[in-house]
Amino acid sequence: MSEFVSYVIEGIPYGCVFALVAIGLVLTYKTSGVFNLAFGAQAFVSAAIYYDTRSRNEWGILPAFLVAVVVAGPVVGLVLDRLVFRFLRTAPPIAKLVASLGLLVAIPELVRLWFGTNPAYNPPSIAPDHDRIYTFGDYELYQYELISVVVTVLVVLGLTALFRYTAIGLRMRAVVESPRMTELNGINADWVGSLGWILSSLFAGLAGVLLAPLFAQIRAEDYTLLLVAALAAAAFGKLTNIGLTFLGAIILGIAQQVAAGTLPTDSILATGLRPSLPFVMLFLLLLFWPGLRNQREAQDPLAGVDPPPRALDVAPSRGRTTRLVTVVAAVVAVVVGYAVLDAFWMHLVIQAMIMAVIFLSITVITGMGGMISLSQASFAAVGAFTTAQLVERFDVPVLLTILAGTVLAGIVGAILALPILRLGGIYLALATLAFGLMFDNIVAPLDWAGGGNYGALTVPRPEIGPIDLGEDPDFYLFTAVVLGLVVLAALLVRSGTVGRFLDALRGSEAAATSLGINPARIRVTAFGLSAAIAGLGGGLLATFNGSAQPSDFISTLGLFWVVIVVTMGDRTVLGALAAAAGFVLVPQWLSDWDFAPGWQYILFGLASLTFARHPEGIVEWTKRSLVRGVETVEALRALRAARAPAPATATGAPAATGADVASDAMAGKGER
Amino acid sequence: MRTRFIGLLMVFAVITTAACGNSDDDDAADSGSSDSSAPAETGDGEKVPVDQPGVTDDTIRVGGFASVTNILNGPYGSAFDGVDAYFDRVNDAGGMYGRKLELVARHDDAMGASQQKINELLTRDNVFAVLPVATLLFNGAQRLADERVPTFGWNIQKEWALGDNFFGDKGSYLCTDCADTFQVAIWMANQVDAKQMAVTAYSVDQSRECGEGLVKGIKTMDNTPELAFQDLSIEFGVRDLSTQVKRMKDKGVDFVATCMDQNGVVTLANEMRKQGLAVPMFLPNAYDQKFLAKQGDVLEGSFVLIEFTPFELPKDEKPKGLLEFEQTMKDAGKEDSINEIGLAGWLSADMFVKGLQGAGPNFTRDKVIESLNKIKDYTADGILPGIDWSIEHKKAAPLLCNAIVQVEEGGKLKPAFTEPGKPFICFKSGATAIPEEPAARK
Amino acid sequence: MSLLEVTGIVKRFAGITALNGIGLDVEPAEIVGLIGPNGAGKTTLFNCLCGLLHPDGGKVAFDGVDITGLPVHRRARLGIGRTFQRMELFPGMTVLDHLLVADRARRGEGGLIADLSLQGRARPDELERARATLAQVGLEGDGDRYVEAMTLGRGRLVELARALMTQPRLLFLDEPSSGLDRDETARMTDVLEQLREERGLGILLVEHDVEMVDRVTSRVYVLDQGTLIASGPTAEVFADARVREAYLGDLV
Repeated sequence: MSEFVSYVIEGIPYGCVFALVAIGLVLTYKTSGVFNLAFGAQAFVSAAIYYDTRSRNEWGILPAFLVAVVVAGPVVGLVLDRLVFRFLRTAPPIAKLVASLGLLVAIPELVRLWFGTNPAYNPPSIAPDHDRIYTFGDYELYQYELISVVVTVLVVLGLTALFRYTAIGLRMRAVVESPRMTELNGINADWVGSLGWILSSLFAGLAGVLLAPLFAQIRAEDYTLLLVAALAAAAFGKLTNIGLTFLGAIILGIAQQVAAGTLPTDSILATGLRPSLPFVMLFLLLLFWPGLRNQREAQDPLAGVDPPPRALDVAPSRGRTTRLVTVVAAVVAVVVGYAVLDAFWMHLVIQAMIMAVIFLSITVITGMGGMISLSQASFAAVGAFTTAQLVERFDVPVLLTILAGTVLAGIVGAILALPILRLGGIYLALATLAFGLMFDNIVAPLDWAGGGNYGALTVPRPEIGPIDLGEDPDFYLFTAVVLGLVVLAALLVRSGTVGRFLDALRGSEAAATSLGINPARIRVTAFGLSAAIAGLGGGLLATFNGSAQPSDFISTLGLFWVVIVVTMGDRTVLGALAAAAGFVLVPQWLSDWDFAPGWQYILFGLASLTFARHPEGIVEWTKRSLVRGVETVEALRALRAARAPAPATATGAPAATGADVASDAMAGKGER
Repeated sequence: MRTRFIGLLMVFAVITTAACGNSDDDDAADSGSSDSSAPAETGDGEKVPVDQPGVTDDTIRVGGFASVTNILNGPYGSAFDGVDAYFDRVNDAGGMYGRKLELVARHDDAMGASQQKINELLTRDNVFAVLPVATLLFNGAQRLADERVPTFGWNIQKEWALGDNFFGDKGSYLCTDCADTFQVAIWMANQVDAKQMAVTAYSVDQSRECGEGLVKGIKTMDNTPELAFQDLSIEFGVRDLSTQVKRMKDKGVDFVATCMDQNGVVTLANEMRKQGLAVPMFLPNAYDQKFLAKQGDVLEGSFVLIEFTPFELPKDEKPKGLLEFEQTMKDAGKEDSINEIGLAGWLSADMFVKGLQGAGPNFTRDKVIESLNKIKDYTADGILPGIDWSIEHKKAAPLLCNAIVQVEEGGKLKPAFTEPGKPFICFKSGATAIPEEPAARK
Repeated sequence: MSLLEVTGIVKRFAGITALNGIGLDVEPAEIVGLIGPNGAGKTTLFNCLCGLLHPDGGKVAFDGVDITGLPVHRRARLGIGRTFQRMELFPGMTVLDHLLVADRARRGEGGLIADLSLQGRARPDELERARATLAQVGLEGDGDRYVEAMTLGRGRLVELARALMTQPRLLFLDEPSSGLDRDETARMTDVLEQLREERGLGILLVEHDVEMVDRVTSRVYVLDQGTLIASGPTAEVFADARVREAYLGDLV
């Protein structure tokens, strides 16, 4: 018992560390509706400014604190709101998530342009007598830790009071729930929304500076790691309740201490379990915490006043000729590539084609199924590990092992889907993220999975009968065929029953089920198919690389696969292909042109912000702009020829006359 | 397919890889004491036509890659400076076999793209050899092994043992989780009369393996302190070790060996100071002067493990090789790269040139590899304790040698347990008991 | 045995009783009205009957089988179709697609394997059925149009056609005439009568348009504040003073 008491006491200061980031997450969600994984990056901004002023320029504590937290925090929030999030106020959760992920990679790089990349060791605290130790019975705290604990408690009380008792707190909540309703009540939703961002960013700055002394140097990634570990606390608070979140964080802190004190550490499995504790807790919370169960997106009660959402999809049924032309063009492209690509580019193209296979799994689950899965990397890992293990242990031919990996990944995906499908939107994303993190920590290190202590598992290239695909050009053709088949499968599914049922479910779950569509069954199918495709890609990658390594498939990687695909366009095959090409080629070009790799993150992070306004994706948007451009030119020409004042609306040119959304959409359809 | 986009976010995989980064070596030792390495910096030999990739009439092209962009803010790009400085000296003296040595490619793998960079070096940059390699991950190394490209660099990954064409700065074979690897740590614990040892590590690959090696050593060898506390599953990225330190205190721990990264070491040291546990720590991967200068206060008294001659030796005790390295780097205006990585670059270049010398005027990749693999005591003029390239691709050296420095007040470093002119203390590979005195000193 | 037999449905939201022991029944080939002021609980009752909401008490029997615990899609497959008060169409799909989806959903046909073996696209017999249904509701020319581009009135017909494709024996219609103009309402009325006569459908109709209710229903139930306040043959109920006061007011 006394042991437990000691865990509790040790757990409280630690819980406050989790609380600072988890409350930040909740605060942002509550005031802006954004599940802000970039919170860690925001904290980093203030920590960097504090370090620069305090340590490098030797300012006093107060002025440095004022500049880093009180000024910089809100300014960052205001900028984010004005440039990004105010356009997303009524956007679906995936749009907000993608934007925050984009910022997560872009912000640290932008800061580093100024802050530099030299290590910033020994971060200063805001405590005047930093290292002074206070003793409470058997327990000691540094002054800076004590300050963190006190500030955390004050923040919890202050924020709770703000939301419960003040008008502005109520308004911030109201704006998140229904910006339209709030505006009807005469409140300026934009202004209140900005205020929300200012407040949460101020808090990010505070957390950044308070937590900095925990680390050996100032790095954005440390905050993000902490944030991911603290997700369970935010889930405990149902993403909205600050008091509960605080409690969840304390429980998490205590649980970590108990685990540290009691769990064995003598096997790979055991050593994987404890680091996964926060993710296991997150996963279980999502499944069983009553506040989160059955919680599909809360609907804006006034959403109905919006015009019906515009269809994003390209009409699947194109003309027979168009289809034929496309197929012929693709085949010609592959053959030309085979003939002209040198060894270097061929290698990159193969890699891009394999990535395209994996990315098509995202097209299936997110584009067609409307579900955000962040565990695609783990499914790919299942494919890769299965491929490698079967080859290594049972000497099965590689092609068969890849197939086995595909099937097994599909099964894993379908099984995972069963319990988590009732979660909607952001919660589904969180559950899959938790699954991926658990997979990374518990499964991937095992001997029979990722290979354990003894490094990468080797995988040979496949042989088809007498043909050995060891040489890149042969493997190139093989990959092209596989990719072609996967594309075909994706198209067949999209235009077939499964695809249309998914479309229907996404359009209106109530209506779809009222027709007799079993939502669980069709979603499990989609999940399984998507996981299988990812597994196939993982197996291909392993045989192409000659090895299957856990570090190729960590779940943070999967997070970015999703963002890239969604940014380029998750509804079309072309979007996935473009995403894969960009994923492989852009870094190469940047490096060829002597840009630091950091620019990739800036470029890519900022690109993902376009998703807010072009949810159809960059590819589709570009295509439409081109079509529109041509039509505008044609319309102008017709206009000039006729010398008539009325615009030629029949061509479907952009409606200068203010045609309503419906007819605009109609025109859009007509173009295809 | 390492992806570059996510490099930034690969914290889980990557920081952790480096967590026990430069710790996992120790097997760089030698089989004899005769120094057979010849001075390498004299460009010499007659020129004959050579038909090899990357060899032209007047240049020998090499290229490398390093994790210049990395979230650890580590100075991995210094490896290029080390190679440049060395090549400049050779070229000033006339080059090799009438050809200039040229570092034509210096790629930044941004922590995750080593596979792509290897492809680029082999198919586009047209290099004869790959050096320097100074990365956090070394995915794709299999291809270098398959094509038998001479490869040189900073060895912190198991991939270096894939073939006899890999030449790491401290040998090519790592066995972090072998019981005998960290004899030196246990011996030090004995030296400071420690009775109760603690071992801490992260749950992730290299860190955990390092911890397992230590634990095995303490448990299975004779003449060791008690293993009073172990925790090899500390969650990476986590910032509280109060329970662990409390346990250590309760168990009367008087020596702590840790396989964690800088964050972890600082967290642990802070917590130990807070709870009043003032005992020495063993840090296998903290040889970073800038870090120690800034954070040395809390690490005071700790022992830091090094695989080469410490930069902190008094000038008259420094070996010729190290003096040359420091002087050449200074002359080239690269003082900032006088660190472990810069030295790894320098050693890469030195080994490459020695390999060329051994291969003769009509050198080939295979000849370079073969000639290097005949060198039984590579010390780079005293910088290293000595690598036996005839065996150290696949197994540990018979003698495991290291240098130790101790952190003093203000983060200054002082060589420890050394004898004048002999910075290294060595232990027998495969030993079953910790000896009272090191098996050898060099 | 009635086609639909509902007894004692109770539904509470956060302590407020939205439905207080509702019972009603619908016979085959009968159109029954359900009327009441806004907020009376009509849509809540609908959602309980078709399975979107789970009632806190009471029983729903369809064709003599207790379906109270069944999920929505199982009820649909038994032969219960519905439309929605706030239109629930599928954006990005053509009118024909809506019907084809409904057709397959009802038959529980198709799936991943079928899709991958080139069986995914619509077959001629499916297209024929869909076109016939379109013709029945008067949407012959609109099969290839996207629903975003349609007027509200036509949208309601699409919903109706979609529901019909599931070959229901019982239809729940939630304000099918709201937002329609006079001609469209008349058309809708004709279609409903035709359905009853030709297909023998039982229909439960929530509707504000008293004229329409008067014309097509044989019986009505009047709901007010979660309680049934009157029921019986339409003409009688409409004559009831209480009903007039509570709901109809000056409308009749």
